[in-house]
Amino acid sequence: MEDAAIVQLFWDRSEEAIEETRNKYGGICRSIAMGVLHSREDAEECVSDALLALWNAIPPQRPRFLGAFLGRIVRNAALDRYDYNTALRRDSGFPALLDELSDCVGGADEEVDLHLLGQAISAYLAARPAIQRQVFLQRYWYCASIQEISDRFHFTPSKVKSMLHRTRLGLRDHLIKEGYDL
Amino acid sequence: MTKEALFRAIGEAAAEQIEESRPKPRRSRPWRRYAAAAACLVLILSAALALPRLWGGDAAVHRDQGEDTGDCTAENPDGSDYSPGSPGYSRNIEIGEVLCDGGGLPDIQQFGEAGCLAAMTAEEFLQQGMDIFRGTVEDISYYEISIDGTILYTSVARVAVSGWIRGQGAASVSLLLPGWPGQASSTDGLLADLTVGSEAIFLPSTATADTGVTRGESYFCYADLAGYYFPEGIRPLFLATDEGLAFDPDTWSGLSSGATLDDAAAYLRSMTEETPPEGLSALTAALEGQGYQVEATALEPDGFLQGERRQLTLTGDTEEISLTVYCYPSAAEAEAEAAAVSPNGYSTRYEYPDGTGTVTGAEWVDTPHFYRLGNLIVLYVGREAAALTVLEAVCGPSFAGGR
Repeated sequence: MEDAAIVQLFWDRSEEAIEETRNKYGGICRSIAMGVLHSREDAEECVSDALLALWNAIPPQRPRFLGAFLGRIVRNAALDRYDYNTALRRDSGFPALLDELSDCVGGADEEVDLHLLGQAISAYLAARPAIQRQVFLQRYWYCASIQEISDRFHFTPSKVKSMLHRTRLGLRDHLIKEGYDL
Repeated sequence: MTKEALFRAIGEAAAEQIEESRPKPRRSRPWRRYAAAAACLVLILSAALALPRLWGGDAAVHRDQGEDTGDCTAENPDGSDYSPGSPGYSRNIEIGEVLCDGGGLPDIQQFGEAGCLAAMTAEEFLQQGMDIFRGTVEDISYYEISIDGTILYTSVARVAVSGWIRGQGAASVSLLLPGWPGQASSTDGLLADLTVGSEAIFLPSTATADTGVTRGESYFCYADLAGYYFPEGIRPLFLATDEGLAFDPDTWSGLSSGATLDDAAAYLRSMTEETPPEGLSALTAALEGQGYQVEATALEPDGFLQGERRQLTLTGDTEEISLTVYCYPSAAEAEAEAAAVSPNGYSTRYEYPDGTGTVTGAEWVDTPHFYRLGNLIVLYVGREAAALTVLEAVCGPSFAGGR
């Protein structure tokens, strides 16, 4: 079912909306949550919580890309759960993915407008070749593993790693030019 | 800035980029295990006739995957095991991949349902909106589909994409081909000449839940095997061969017989370049001719009507007038959309092929007035006499609203 039709089901307050969303995006949402939490139980809870949040968000919202809209909710929910688990010292493989982003930041704990920063990141990615952009977002938005990305794009894992590394360094330079204190 | 803050900020990336990068679902391949048989009798039915065929057990082996359990070994994206009862959209069928142990593929005879191709110009063909890309065939997998007591043969070519002319931008795509390339009478046109290593420009149709073959109560959905398929093999391919570029000269009459694949790519790009909505410039010029300055801005879809939305702000001697314009690819589509609007302009009603439908209501802040002009639907919400006068002069009488 097309996204617009599913969104209309939400507007019509039809329970089919949740079922159709789960059918279309349940897999990718679990994948994103698993990439952060590495726990099937925690990932399932995140996805369920995200679907409830989606029900409450539409209406009044009418997202054009439902997958991206829902994925963002799942992603943030998974990160919040990760922070909670970290406080409880429950381990996951997520730190490895976060550590890669050390190339881009200095680590100072200061307030930053995430929405504006997101726009700056998008502007940088928009100027990159499509494959480089997709590899970057599959790793850091969809939380795919290096091997999964390697399989999807038919690259070697080392090629994926070096592509990500170049993109991170380019992003760092771009954010510095945009005035961010990294 | 911390790593966590950057990770959260990446989450705020543009929705279009996120959608473009969405990993496509991996296709499960349910297996039916065959014991190696000396011979088996298979009936192949076509639209025209039925022939018996003997299957040589030495020439074809149906591959087991993994454990000797008969379970499917496809995986969910999170790595958990997945054992579907049946393919995603198909019903009451079985799909088996065919590998050959040493020798070539067994001979098959499959007679496609022959049809007359409707004559189309290149422009008409391209208006179907299919994705267009250039790439090289990396491998071909062969399948037999058991559907309602018959066997269909199909193959899937995995293509490494070297350039997109129109469409999504993935690095690799899968194409469903009718029959098995290279087999006699099995495929149409140029598709029969595809082999591993072939370089071509492809214009396939997108496989969806609704594209497939129905036989009785059984349904084989193309989307269960590939992202694209070919309704026919004559027009949607430009194939580089040792003898030059092979393509259908009747449809692609604008391309010379000695053209190369690069020439074909440039030709298709020139035919598919996006242009601004057709009637909008004419509407703007007409309104300017009535003495207004016109400023246009793009708007997000509102879900009431499906067309691409623009806001036109008219300034002149009277109060500022704000119009919403819905743009469609053709006048016919605008006309069809206009028919969905209720006479009072407060709702739209759509009916889908499966018998369901939707009704969308709107709460306008004032009286709505709907006009149609070619491929545009123009909406004015208000009661200013100057606005109504200029819209009637430019677009003709309204078709809905005004109450």
